[in-house]
Amino acid sequence: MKVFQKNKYQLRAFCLICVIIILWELITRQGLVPNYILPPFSQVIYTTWIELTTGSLFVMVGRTLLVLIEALAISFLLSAIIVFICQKSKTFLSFYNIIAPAMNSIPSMALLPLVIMWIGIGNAAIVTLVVHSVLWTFTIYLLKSISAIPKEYREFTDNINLGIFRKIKDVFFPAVLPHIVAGLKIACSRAWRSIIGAEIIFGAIGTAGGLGYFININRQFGNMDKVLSGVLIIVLIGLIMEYAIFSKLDKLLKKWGMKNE
Amino acid sequence: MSNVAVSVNDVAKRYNKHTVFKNVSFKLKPGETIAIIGYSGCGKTTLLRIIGGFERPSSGNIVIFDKNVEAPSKNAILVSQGQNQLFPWKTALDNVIWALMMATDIKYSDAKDVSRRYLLDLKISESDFDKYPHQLSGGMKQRTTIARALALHPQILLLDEPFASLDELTKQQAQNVVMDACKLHNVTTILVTHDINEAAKMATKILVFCPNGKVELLKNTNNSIEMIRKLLNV
Repeated sequence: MKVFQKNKYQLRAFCLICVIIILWELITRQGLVPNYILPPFSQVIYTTWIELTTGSLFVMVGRTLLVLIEALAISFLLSAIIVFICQKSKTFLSFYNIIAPAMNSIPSMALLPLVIMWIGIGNAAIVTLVVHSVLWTFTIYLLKSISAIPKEYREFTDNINLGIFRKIKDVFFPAVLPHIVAGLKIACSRAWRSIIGAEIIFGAIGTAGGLGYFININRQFGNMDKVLSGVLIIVLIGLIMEYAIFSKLDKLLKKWGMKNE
Repeated sequence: MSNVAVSVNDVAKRYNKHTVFKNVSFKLKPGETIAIIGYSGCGKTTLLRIIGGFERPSSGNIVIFDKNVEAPSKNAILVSQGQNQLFPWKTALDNVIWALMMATDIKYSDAKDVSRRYLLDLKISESDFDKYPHQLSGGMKQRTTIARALALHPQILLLDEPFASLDELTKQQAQNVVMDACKLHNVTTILVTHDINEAAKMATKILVFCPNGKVELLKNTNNSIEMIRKLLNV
């Protein structure tokens, strides 16, 4: 009983979701909305299960995630290099402070014609678009986080003559962790949107397509249950990222008093 | 070992054409405490940072146990003002252990024993050892910071208004505890403060930054408080 009292708002939210799903099921089963516009919820769940176990959806999700990881890895590496140069050169920092907000305001899809002209329509084009959507935001967060390291931490590490590697690993990295987590959340959501958008537009590369391709090809054939399966998978991956990674990091930061409740 | 712990020789600090202070000289024996007192902006903290090697003097020099101060070192540990000095991702005990292990070649088990001892010396109870800084009170945070500094066995402890943010009762308690710990470990202490009573209570010598730009060195005697008031025009 206490558990229910403690989580009563979450419980109410869950009930509300259930009500929406039941209404969705009833309206579609009664034929109030045509199947080609909105199939029943149970059908979407069944199709998702079938596609994941026997169809190609699982492979396509894997392909999208691999491209996502590749793009994020490149973005983080480039961010680290840019931040390093910014720390070494004030001229470059000033240049970057002008260029980063300008670049950050360009949506990935607006660069699509240029990317197609310069790189073509291969995997590299999708990676480029995702890197563009992540790099500027994440670097801005990293630079902000470094300037937010309390002066006292730097002075104490100087005072005990700590080496640069130890300074970064034991002091600077945990000190900037709240900013990194905030930057990562935004970077991941932007990357996720860009990759699905790019896959929908580029479609299959050779014979290999990702989750965006799966959604788009089924839209063309009018398979709305499969389109919604793709959307459901996107939602599930988003939730897994939130609860398996970010909420754990948030809990850790709250435990350290580095993030408000 | 030299009989002079700290020697400040004709130190001056200028920013462009503005002279913050000049002709500052004093010597401290091992275990002595000096309080630096004056109005805001007179250069007390700047002098402390120069002694610690965090800033360079415009002229003059600082010698700590026969060595010229060029940069920050483990010999003189600075405890700045404010409560932002402990690492929030480490518990009170881990903050001290980590600093000790980084600054010396000590083993973890030995570092733990030493850290516990210093925390107990600074009246941090065992039940608070595993608390994170945000779970400690202001006074406990300051005492933990000073325990961390003392555990490093510095020759000089530089305290920059360490009790400024504490309420009167906690302040009195923290002052007594720090004085006892410094005496116990024979640490030479340089204390920057705004508080005349604190200076008179804790220090053997008092350096007064007068409003007319002069710097006066007093020995702490029974009538020090009156003399400081007179020098500061209070």
